[in-house]
Amino acid sequence: MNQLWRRVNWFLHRKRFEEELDEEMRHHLSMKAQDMKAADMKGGEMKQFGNPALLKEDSRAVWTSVFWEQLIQDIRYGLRSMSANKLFTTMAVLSLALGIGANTAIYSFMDAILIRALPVAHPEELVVLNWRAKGWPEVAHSQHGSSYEEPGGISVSDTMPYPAWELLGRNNVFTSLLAFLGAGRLNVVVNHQAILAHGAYTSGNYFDCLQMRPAAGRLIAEQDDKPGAPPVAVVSYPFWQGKLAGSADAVGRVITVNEVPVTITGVAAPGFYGLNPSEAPDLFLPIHTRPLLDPRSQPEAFHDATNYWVETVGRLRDGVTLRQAEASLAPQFHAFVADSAKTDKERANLPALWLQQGGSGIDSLKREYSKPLYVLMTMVALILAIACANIANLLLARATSRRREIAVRLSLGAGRLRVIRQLLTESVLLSLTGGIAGMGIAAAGIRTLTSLLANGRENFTLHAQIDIRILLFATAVSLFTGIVFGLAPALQSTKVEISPALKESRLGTGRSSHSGLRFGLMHSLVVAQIAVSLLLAIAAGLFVRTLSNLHSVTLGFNRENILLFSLNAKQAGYNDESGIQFYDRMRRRFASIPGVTSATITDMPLVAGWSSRTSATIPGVPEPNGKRPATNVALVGPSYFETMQIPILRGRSIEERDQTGRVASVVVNEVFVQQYFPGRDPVGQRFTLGGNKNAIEAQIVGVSRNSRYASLKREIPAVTYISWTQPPMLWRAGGIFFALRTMGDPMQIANTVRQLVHQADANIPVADLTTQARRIDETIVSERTFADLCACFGVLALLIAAIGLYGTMAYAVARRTGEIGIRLALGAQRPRVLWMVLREATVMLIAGVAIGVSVAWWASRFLASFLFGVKPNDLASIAVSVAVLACATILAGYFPAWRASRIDPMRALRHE
Amino acid sequence: MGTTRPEIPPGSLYMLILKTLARLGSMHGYGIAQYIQQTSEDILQVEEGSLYPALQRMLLKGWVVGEWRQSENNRRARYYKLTPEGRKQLARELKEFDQVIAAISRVIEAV
Repeated sequence: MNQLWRRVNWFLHRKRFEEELDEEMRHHLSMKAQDMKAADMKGGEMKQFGNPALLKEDSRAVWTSVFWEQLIQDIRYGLRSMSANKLFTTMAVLSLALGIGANTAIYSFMDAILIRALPVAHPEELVVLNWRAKGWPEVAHSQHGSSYEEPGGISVSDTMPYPAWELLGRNNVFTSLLAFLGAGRLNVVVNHQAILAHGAYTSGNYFDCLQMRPAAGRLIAEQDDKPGAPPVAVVSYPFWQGKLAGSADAVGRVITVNEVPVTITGVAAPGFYGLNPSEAPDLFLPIHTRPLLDPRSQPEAFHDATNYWVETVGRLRDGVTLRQAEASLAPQFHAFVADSAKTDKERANLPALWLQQGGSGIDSLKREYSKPLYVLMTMVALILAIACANIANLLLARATSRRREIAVRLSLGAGRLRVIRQLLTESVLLSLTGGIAGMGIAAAGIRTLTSLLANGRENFTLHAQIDIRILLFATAVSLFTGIVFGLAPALQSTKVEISPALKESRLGTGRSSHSGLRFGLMHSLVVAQIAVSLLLAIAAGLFVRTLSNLHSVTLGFNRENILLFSLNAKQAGYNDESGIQFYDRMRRRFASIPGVTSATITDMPLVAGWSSRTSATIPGVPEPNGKRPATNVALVGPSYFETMQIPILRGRSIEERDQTGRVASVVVNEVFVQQYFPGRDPVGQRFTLGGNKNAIEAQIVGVSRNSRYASLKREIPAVTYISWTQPPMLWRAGGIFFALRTMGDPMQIANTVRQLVHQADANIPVADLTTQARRIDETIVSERTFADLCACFGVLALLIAAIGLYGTMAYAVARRTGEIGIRLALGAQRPRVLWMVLREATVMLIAGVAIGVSVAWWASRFLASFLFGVKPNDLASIAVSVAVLACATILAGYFPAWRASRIDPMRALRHE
Repeated sequence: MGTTRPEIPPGSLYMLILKTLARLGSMHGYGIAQYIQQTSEDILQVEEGSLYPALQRMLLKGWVVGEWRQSENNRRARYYKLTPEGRKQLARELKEFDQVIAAISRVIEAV
């Protein structure tokens, strides 16, 4: 090994070695010339120096020839033996390609979501400012943006009051501290065409802090983010390319955003999707344009210390660590929140500052996908493991059949190391071929997975792709499997005692202790493969059942043949009253489209993850400890219940006449009645919805059958359907949805809808156009993706394990040909021989199933949070998986067994 | 030129070089060749074409290490020195050589 190291060292510094050799020659010559002179004077003779080029060649050959020539030899020999054993090669390459392909595809998603850094300078210096508190901190009167709960009831959010950002910006740990927030969807008019674009509000130092260079024009600067500054916007690179044709004169152009003229000052760097990869803004606007663009936002928010609405990211100064920055800023933040707390209750639970790495952006996508990705990564790692077991098994089998060849080579004087190297070269060749084929599989897998995950989401920004790091990953995995799983067989097969191996006959080698051990190893590998594929099959079963449970949930309404879309008149300059008139007019027009049986209005699509909840004061319903009853609400227009086909059980549905009047007509569902009017007739009853300023009087006009509200998974809550024109409730969502029941495919009338809206007002774009069925399916994308992927993985695992079992059994039969021949010659029945071989497979199956089931029993709890309507230890899933696996195993074992029973004893024995 | 010199027996070049270095401590290639030639009273002549590949092979096997120093004619030269591994190898080769010589003499003198 020392020699190898010296060779490598020589190779790395070969230029220096050559120069040294040259110098040595020159020295030799000069010494010789000196002596020659002396010798000449003495009249003696001196031999000429030999051919210096040849001499150098010979010297270099000492270091190289053996190593490289042997490597080329090995590769040539390896390729020859690969093409000579086509079945073996195909099996090995196929199982490796599947394993490596699946791993590479999933890894590229992990890379895109969890690892890849933002495309800005020194992303590792960026930190996100969060706060944590036990339960919801009362001091945060209002909060806009993301917050989540950690186990143990810890609330975490990266939103800050604007004054807190101003305060924390004055520090000595950050070079600068930026602030931003999502602007949601904005109505943008470009080239006289209204479109919806995603926006982000940014502080004046946003791009400066990120150290970004513009692709064109200039980026937002401090002077743009001042009250009263002329409104400007920076557009994203894709928006510039797509909507502005990438032209240089886009800079300086004025576009209309929510009815406000805004000047484009520049284009952000390509590949920059904002700090929150799940938002992917098209437009970046200074925070101070928010009051102009968004009438619902309150200008007071800039001074309110209890309104948490901006997200902040800082860039660490040189040499400052995350924890140092946190320690330095935490007291400042604490003083700020303590000062903003006015009551004892607020003071009792103050949020505390908590800094996080921000190099890969705000981590909402990570939270959403990291757990599923870890599950998937585990699965593909298991697949790779059984693929590797296959390689090891096939190599072992082959090494055994090459015992004689290896013994011959060893006895002819080949070094053991040399033979091991030859075998390793072969296995690395195999695994690299598998790796290359795996890249193809990975590329296809990434495309499929992206479309599965995006599932029609319009601004899906997950850009998983094969890049240099993914290639390195795949190469590393291939080399690793080739070396590690080739090494054991190589070591074992070269440990032969030469003379017994040479004398070995084809009659069988079972008596040799070495091969007995090896055969045991092969058996245990197959058992492990069966256990792992059973594990994956069980997981697949659980996810498939989850999906089918979700599909068979009783909705309570008819999801088919409904077209859904939203319009936002407010962003096009309408006020409450003219907006209502516009929407009502449009509803009537939509209802008269041929093929539309009814049309209605609602503020939220059903079973789309949307929900709205408000408190209520209901006469006769007690309020223990001041806790008022609550109900989920939905604003609905006339013919809502007809369109959705939710049956009215008592009273009537919401009608045209309910659109006027001071008291809101409402329909409540059965759960509402059970909770608040048990045993009473609710129709005609009045109660108050909401509290304080926003309270509205409501009168129940009907009771509807229960139907799913926000999600398929959650229990149906108490729901109040409110006639939609009640002003305090309206406008929260910004836009309003229309639901059209059609006779045929709803998407067929999509263009008619667009035309109608364009005719009515060209400044209002049609958004979220889809069908109710698709909207529901979107909420179970992750379940569907899981079910699809796991089913794939399950089949894959089964396939690989079956290949492994087949290989092992075929090898076992080949090894025992002679023995079986003797048995048959002595009168053994063919079915007995068949059973004898099959029994081996069955024993392995039983052992594998026993291990697999017990591991699954323990491990399936980790999947519990992904399941719906299935217990982690679902007996049906386990039973089906075992059955499928048993079939596959027996099938894989049957063919070699059948071949064994067909052996012609005469021919088998004649081989000796 | 006309006189023929006996060839150095194959395989014994290593031993000669090792022995030379054991005696001289450290020496450059030319010096090694000269020493062998002089000590053998001009009977053994080491060709450059076999000396330098042999030295390279010995470097590779770790029997000797090279070190660049000023030589007597004020030029940089590579001085070779025995490693402990090289010393062991020399002992091995000398022992084998003695055995072979003894065996050969026994055969020759057996007549």
